[in-house]
Amino acid sequence: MQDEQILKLVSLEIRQCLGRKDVERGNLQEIRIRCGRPLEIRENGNLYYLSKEYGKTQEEELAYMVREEDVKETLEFSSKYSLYAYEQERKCGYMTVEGGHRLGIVGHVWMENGKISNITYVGGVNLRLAKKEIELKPALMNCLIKNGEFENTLVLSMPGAGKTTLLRSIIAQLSTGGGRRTVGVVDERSEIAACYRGVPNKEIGNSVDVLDGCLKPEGMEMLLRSMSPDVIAVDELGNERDVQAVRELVRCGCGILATMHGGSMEDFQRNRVGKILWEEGVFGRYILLENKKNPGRIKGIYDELGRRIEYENYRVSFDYDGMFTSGIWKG
Amino acid sequence: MIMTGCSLLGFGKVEQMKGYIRNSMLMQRQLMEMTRQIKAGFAQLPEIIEVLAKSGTGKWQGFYSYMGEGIRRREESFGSLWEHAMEKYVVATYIGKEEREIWREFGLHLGYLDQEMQLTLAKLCLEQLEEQMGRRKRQLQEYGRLYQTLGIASGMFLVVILV
Repeated sequence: MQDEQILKLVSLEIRQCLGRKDVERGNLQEIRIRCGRPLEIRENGNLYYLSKEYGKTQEEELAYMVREEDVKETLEFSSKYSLYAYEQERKCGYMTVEGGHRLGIVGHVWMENGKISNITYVGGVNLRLAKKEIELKPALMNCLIKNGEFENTLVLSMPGAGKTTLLRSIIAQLSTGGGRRTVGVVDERSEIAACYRGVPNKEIGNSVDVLDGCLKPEGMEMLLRSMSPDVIAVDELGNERDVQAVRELVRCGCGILATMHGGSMEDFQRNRVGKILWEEGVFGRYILLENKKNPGRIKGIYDELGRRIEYENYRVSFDYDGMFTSGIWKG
Repeated sequence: MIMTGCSLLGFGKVEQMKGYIRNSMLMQRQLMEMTRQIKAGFAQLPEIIEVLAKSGTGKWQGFYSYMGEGIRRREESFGSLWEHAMEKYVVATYIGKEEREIWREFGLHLGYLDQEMQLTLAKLCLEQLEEQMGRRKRQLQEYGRLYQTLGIASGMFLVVILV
């Protein structure tokens, strides 16, 4: 079903390339479609060119050369022939399309009063495919709860390593079941819940309220006042305004679950925004993910002092999709 | 029989002109509905087409149902889908040549631009259709009776000659 859905988003010629037997559509991460250049995919963290005749290849000469029509058709199909309806999103350089996948766009950018007014002459798109849901075992959740209270948690990783997917899974876990909490989500880029007309397309649990397409600082304040959530979740903290809003949440006693770019704890502490958050001790737990070759894999969980959390005598293992296949987190 | 046949030709021509006007009005109404939906809720084309298929009748219902099916399949561009639907349902007996061209041009650019351009495109199409409808109405007033009279007269003429 998911596979067929992916095929419907791209041009007819590219569908044929993706239809090759050696392409594991279930493990596809990205489809890069650039005008006049070879069609490229990222599968299991590796980049391949794609050919209609030979499937995956590293030979540029064999690869399918993307035509202008491919880009146009891909834009048409993925927007369900309604590119105009994605006007606001396009200004940010991407569109969240059916199935929660994200289509990044590059081309000629038009500026108006110092702001991006439109992107035309689209020269290439990158279809970033939504990852499979991660099923969280209680072990990880136990790491995030201390004395029955949710510890403010920050997920750290490099781009494409599964931050948002993990965030979504934690939200789902927190907001479902007996000890559930009410979770407010500020989904600035429609990536967490993949809302379509205000209704989440992704499985994010029951007690969840989503503000879709809203800026993080404004959204956090709105949710705090209007929905009184136990925890507020946001993706990609990035500037001082976000930090100010997070401070306000913590001051009001609301839990915070967030993500940020960062390849290591040291990276995070060196980062301008990270440094403030670290020094102020906003977060009680840090989940560090491995790189994009192993999306969804956890490298380590750290406490507020940066100590790695260890659970002796237990081991956890993952299969490729980042599924927790056994037991309790060892660290 | 000759008399009736010739008269029917004249009356038929007038009916065809009236049909063009009726369909032009229907097209304008559809355009207004599209504009309303795009303006009000940023509705996407599949939803708009679905609404039009449900509210449409006769050939128009067929046109939008065909479009809806094509959109679900996503196997051809919107422009080519529109053209195929027109070939199948928007035939010359119902729609004037000029109106068909306006409608075809409209479909070729639908969906691909931003919201403002969609509305401008719809407005332009609406204006062209209105202008064309005005022309058709004037033609009907000027030539309607003439076609009918000519039909009857030519019938009588033929009868006289043959008898």
